[in-house]
Amino acid sequence: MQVPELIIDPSLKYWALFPITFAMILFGLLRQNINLLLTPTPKKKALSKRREAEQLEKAQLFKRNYWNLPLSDFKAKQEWLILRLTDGTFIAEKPKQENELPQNPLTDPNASEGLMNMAKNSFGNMIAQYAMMGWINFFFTGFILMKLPFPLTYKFKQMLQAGIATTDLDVRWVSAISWYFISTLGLSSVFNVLYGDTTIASTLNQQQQPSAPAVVSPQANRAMEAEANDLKIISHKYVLDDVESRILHQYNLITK
Amino acid sequence: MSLKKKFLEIHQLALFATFEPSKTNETYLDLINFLKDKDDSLTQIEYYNLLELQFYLALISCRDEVAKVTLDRIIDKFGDEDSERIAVLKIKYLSATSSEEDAALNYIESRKGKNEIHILKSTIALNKNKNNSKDDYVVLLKGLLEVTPLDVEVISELGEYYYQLGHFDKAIFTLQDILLVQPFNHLTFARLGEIYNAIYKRDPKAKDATHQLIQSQKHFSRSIELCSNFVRGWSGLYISSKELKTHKVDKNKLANYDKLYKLSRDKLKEIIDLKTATNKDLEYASKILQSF
Repeated sequence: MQVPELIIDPSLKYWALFPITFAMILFGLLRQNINLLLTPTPKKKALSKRREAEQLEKAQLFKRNYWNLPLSDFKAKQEWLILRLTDGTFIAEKPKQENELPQNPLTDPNASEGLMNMAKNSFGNMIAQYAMMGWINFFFTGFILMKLPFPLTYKFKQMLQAGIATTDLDVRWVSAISWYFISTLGLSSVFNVLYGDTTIASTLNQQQQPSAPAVVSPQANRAMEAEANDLKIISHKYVLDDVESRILHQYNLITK
Repeated sequence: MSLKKKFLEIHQLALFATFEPSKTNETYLDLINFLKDKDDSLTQIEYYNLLELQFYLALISCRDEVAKVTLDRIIDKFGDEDSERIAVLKIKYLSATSSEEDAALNYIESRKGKNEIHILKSTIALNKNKNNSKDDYVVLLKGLLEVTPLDVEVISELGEYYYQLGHFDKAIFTLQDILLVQPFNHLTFARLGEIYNAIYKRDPKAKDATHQLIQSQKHFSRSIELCSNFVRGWSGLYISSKELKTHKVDKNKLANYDKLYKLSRDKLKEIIDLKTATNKDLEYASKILQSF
């Protein structure tokens, strides 16, 4: 049976469509500002941790770029690095025993702070979303707000007509709750204009995604031992060995 | 390259530190105009990075008041207490403008968290001339390098300091670390070439004098291999290969040194004729061709 064309009361536009859109924009701005206020100041890295990370990186760079060193200096630097990587000088924290299990991130005071911030952030977002959803549900359930000017397939019905229990209504009609969802996802370009900064809107979108759990890094002493072992097996070559012939060849002064 | 990209690159690579006064002034005026008609694509982070650049350019070009206003704007946004980066700006401002000799050091003293690496760096730099012995400064720099072994600025400072003290071998050993971090740094290759040349010049009759000269020539060769229009590299290659021609070396090698000598001489002439370098470099190139 063909459903007759609906006629929408124009006051729905002023009392439902615009208020929802306006409230969503205000809500987005408010949430962004609250997030900024709640963001904890990043903690400074302890010098010992910094030394550990940078010395490890130096060993990796040595492994990659050793060909810039003449043999004698290569050997001296290689020996020094192997010695310091294996004697534990660079380790920031005492290594755990072999059979000791890695610390539970929920009881580890360093990790729990990060988890707490993550939880705070996602709970804050969740509560705000629930409040907004509740508000829409309470005032606007069952409202149809607009008709899209282009045809759509039946699969869009669930997306566009949430909260409307009719099976035969044309897919192009959009309900209030669906309008809320569409606005939630599609307002980033409006925020770009309001903030004049594309990075903020993208962070807003990112905050809606659940963050991945922090990866537990491998023990530093093991990483250093592995690097030291790698350094031991490097066979030396030197980039300056035949540099003159390369230059002469480059300028066509000799043929190879 | 867009103007925005150019300024951000100058900021990121601290190129302003190497500018001549006229270039500093020109960049400062361009930046002021650029920030006046703020580009829409400029993010907040980029904007404050450019403000930091404006601060440095103003300070270098003796516009102390502009530097102070810019610093205050940055402090208004980010606060004055926690940020190490702002503390560094403040130290720079105080050491450049304050009439009190120890104003910057007193400010460092007043900061609670002294275990900040950039503050440590500034402290060591400010105390450079106050240390009782030259060894103290070396010890401090080595201590800093223990924590930040990849900081090429510190490596370079230590290497150059060794050079000033006449410890050429230590200077080379230290500066080589830059090549581990930046393997294609042609400036460092040229600098190493100069130091090898200095070792040779110190004692041309030493047993390993020829070896040092060959090392010098190899390093200069590498520098021009990496940057074909590098006046400093070509000049070094010109001098070292000319000198090597007078040494007792293998016949084949001697022929190569002669070719390198002619190549570097022609290349320097070409650079001068086509004016493909800065005025200062062109002047140096002409002097070298005349004197050697």
